[in-house]
Amino acid sequence: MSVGEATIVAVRAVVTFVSLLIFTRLLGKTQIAQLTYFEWVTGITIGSIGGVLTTDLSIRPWPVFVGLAVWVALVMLTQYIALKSRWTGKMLDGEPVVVVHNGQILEKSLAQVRMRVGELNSLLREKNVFDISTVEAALLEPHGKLSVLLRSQERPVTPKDLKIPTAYEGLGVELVVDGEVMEQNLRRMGLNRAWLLDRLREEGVSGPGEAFLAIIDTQGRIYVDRYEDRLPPADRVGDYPGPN
Amino acid sequence: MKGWLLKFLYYALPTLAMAVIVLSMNTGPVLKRPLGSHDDLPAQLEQVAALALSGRWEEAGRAEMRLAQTWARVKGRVSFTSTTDEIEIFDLLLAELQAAVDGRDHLLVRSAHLRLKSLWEDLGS
Repeated sequence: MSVGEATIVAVRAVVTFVSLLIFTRLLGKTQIAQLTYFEWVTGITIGSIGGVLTTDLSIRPWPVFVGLAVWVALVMLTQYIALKSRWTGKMLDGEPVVVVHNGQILEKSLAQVRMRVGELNSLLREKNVFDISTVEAALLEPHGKLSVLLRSQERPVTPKDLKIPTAYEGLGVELVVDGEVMEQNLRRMGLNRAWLLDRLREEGVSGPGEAFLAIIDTQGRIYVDRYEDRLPPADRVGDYPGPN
Repeated sequence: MKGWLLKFLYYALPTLAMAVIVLSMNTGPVLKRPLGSHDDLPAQLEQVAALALSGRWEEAGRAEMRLAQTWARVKGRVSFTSTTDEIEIFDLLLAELQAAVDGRDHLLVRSAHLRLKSLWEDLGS
C-alpha cells in the first residue's frame, strides 16, 4: 500500500467513525442493546458496511455511504412502524415462547423454536436451575435468552414475604465526579457547595479535588471514594512488579 | 455555557458533520476542475492527441510529459472520491499514450486518447 492509499484510508476512517457515531445515536439504545436477533444482524451489517467504507478502496465511498445511510433509515423505519403497530412489532421482533410450564417441558414449543433439550438444560443451568421440576414457567425471549420463573416455594424470601417494612431507597445522586462538583445535581437536591464541603470534611476529605466519586442517597447518607486507595498489602494480588 | 446554546450545538454539530461528510464524498467533479492553465488535464490531453495526430511527434512527446506531471498533481485531489482501480488504469493508459507517442503510432495514440478522455469524465463523479 502506498502512502497515498494510507492517507485515503485514514481520511475514510475518520469519515466512517463520525458517520457511525451519529447513526448509532440516531438508532437509539434498543438497537445498541440488540434486543432481537434482527437487531443483532442489522448491527453487524451496519458495522461491516462501515468497515468496507474505511478500507475497501476498490469501491467509491459515496455509494457505500448511501448503503450505510439506507440501512440506518430502514432500521429506524422498522422501529417506528413497530412502535405504531403492535401487529407489525410482533411480526418484526417475534414473541417469547413458553418452553417449560409447571415443571413440564413443552416439546412442541421446543420444536417450534428448533431447540434441543440439551440446549434448554444448558440455558436453565445458566439461570442456576438444575431441577426442571422447580420451574413454574420458562420463556425463550426473542433475543434468544431464557427467562425463568421459579415456583413460589423455590423463590428467595423477600422482606415482603417476612412482612418486614423497608424504606424507599431510590437512586443515588452524584455530587462529585472525578474531583468536579456537580452543581446541577446539588441545586436539584436543594443543597449547596458549603453543605457539600462540610459533609466531605466529616468523611475525612478536605475538598472535592480529593474525591473520585461522591454520591448521596435518599436517606441523606454519603458515599465517598477517594483518589487515594488504602489497600492493605495482603490484598494486592499481582505476583510480579509489571503491569497487570 | 447557556442551556440553549448547548442544545443548539447538540443538534447543529452532528448536522454540520453529516453535511461535510456528504459534500466531501461528492467533491470529485469540483476537485477535477483545473486550478490554473498548468493544471488543465483535459486540455493537455487534447493537445497531445492533436500534436501526435498531426505528425508533430517531438512536440507531442513534450506535451505528454507535461500531461504526466499534471496527472501526478491532480491524482492526489481526486483519489478520495475515486477507486484505486480507476487511478491505476489512468496511470496505465497514460503510460500507453507515452509509448504510442514514442513509437509514433497514430492508431494507438487515438485509442489511448479516447480511453483516457472517457475515464477522466467518469473519474470521481
